[in-house]
Amino acid sequence: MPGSSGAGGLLATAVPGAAGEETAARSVIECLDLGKTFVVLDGQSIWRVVFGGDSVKGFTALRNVTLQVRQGEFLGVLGRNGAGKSTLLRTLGGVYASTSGTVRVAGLVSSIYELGMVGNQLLTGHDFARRWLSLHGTGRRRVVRLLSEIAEFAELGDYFDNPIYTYSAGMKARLFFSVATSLPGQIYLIDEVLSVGDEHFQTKCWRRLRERLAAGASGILATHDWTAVLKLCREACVLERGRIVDRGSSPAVVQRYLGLPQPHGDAAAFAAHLPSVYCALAEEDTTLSIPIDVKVASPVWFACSVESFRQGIGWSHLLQVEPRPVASTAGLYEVEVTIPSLPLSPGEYSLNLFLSERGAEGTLVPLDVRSWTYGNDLAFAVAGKPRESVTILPLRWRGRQTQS
Amino acid sequence: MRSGDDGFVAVRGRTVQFLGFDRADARRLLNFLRMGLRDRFLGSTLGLVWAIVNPLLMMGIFTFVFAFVFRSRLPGAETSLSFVIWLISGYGPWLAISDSLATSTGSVTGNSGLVKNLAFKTELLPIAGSLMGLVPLAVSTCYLVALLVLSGTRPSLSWLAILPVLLLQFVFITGIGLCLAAVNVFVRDTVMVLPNVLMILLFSSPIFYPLSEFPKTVQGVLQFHPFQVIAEGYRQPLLYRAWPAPWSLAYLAVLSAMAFLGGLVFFRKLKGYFDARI
Repeated sequence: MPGSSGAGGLLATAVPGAAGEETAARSVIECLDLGKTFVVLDGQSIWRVVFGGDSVKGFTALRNVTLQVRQGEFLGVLGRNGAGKSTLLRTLGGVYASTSGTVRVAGLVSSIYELGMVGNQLLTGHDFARRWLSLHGTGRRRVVRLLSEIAEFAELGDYFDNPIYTYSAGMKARLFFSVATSLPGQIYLIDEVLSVGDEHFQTKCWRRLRERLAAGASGILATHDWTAVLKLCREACVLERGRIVDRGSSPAVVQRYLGLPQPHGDAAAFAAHLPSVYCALAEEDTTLSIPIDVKVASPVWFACSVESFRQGIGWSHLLQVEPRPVASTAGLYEVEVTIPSLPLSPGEYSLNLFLSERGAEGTLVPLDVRSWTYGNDLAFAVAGKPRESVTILPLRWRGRQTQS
Repeated sequence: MRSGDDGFVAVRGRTVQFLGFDRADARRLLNFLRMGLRDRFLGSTLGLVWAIVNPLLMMGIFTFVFAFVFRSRLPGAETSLSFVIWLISGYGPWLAISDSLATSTGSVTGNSGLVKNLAFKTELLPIAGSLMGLVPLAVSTCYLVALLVLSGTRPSLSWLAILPVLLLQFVFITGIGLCLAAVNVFVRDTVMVLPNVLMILLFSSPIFYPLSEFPKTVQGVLQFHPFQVIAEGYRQPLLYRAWPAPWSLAYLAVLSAMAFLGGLVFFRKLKGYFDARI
């Protein structure tokens, strides 16, 4: 409805995740109690495998992995090298047969397990793309159309028709990513590839993933790059020696994965009865009261922000309250934050609260924090009339013809 | 929710299956064949021309050596050319067999990139590898027909009798290729040993010299040598305008079915362990 309303409705970005959360999203990837054991082959067991095939020592790469990915979501799988991330993806993608448990993947899978070239280095980029597409069952007419798209996206120029062995590592990566994401698949299994190429190309990769997400794609991103997980995934889990050792919202998981120190709230803390959800109405005056417990007689500063998460883009600040002193003696306090005509459209947001003190050199040292960066933010649920923009700024605008 | 389908839905359950393969697999097999042909000669200036020139050159050498240098004769034959024709009608299929076996044995290990990154039935790789032998076979058959016409033989309908033999030969070889390809994943020496074994097999079977040259006791056994049966399957129709003996076709059919099914079962049993080695 651009142009129909005179005030409000800054058309900047699409409404965040709200739509995806409300529709009962069906799960597209499901695995239950998944286990994968590789046989360990030495001089003797090789012959036993070839001729007998009975009990051979194994190396368990995955055990009791249970996970679920809903339509439209990307699950982040964090883990160090050798934790079993690639094995998990390959098992889900059907390249490896699982040793135990069940796997169900509903939809066409596009997988990027490694940037290794499938096949011959003597092939030209063009032939490689053609081969990859036809191996994935793409019809001839479609291949022709996709090839020009790939050439354009990979930005290889004349190199597209040169053999792959003349490519630099970055060019190979660009070619491979372009090819592997050229089919608008429904399910992506991505291993460690979003950190390829230069900045310009990375931006393009992210844009492509966002497009695919917007078109309803889902998938799994296995990586040790936690920033990518924060950017793409609402939920994540940590794989360690083939087991899922942690799972939850991405920020919380990343926070624990990195082992970041958490302020312990000895000097001042949010009170125990701090609600975990704040509710408000869009475009109405809103007051948030936040109970805090100050235990020392020194100035305590308070700040808060409302942020939102969008898949493929990451976290963005929407509203922010500058740090200001709220108490200087011990006691229980109630901080009231009033937002006149709450300029947010309905949806789920993240409410982040900070208590801090002035340290040396005037910097703020956190005393207690409720924030997504620590994985313990509060929910901020805004109800009301749906809008097309995230924020509703009190703008006035009109269009007027200046020349015909 | 916008549709992400875009016309590609995996249809399962309704497709026709044969020994666990469906139509998509057949399409993929064709892809692998095309891929194999391209890859083998990729980077060479003449490319696919070599697929024809190589076997042609080989047979040209044999023709020259046996017809003009050794002047070999078959017992009771007038000319050396008839020996060459006899030789090539056995050697051509043999060339195809050794090509098939070599290609299919290395097919899984040689395509580890595919095996690791694409979910597909890996059985297709040795099958496609074995079918690559069709190229030298086609070339040698054309060469042979040219020689036959040159020697004054008129083309005959009975030549078509080689078709069932050809089919059975590939079924048989594919079965062995499946076994060897699976074993080669674990014991990489297989592909190294293969040429030597093939050489021994070549000279132990009546391909370079007629069965009658072998000692009597060995002849009885060699009659059932699969390669002898295959070679005779080509020689009878092409040289003598006769159908191969029914018992030999039946024998070959049983052998081929056993080899193929056995190879397939063996391969499928072992492929679960491939991930430990690829």
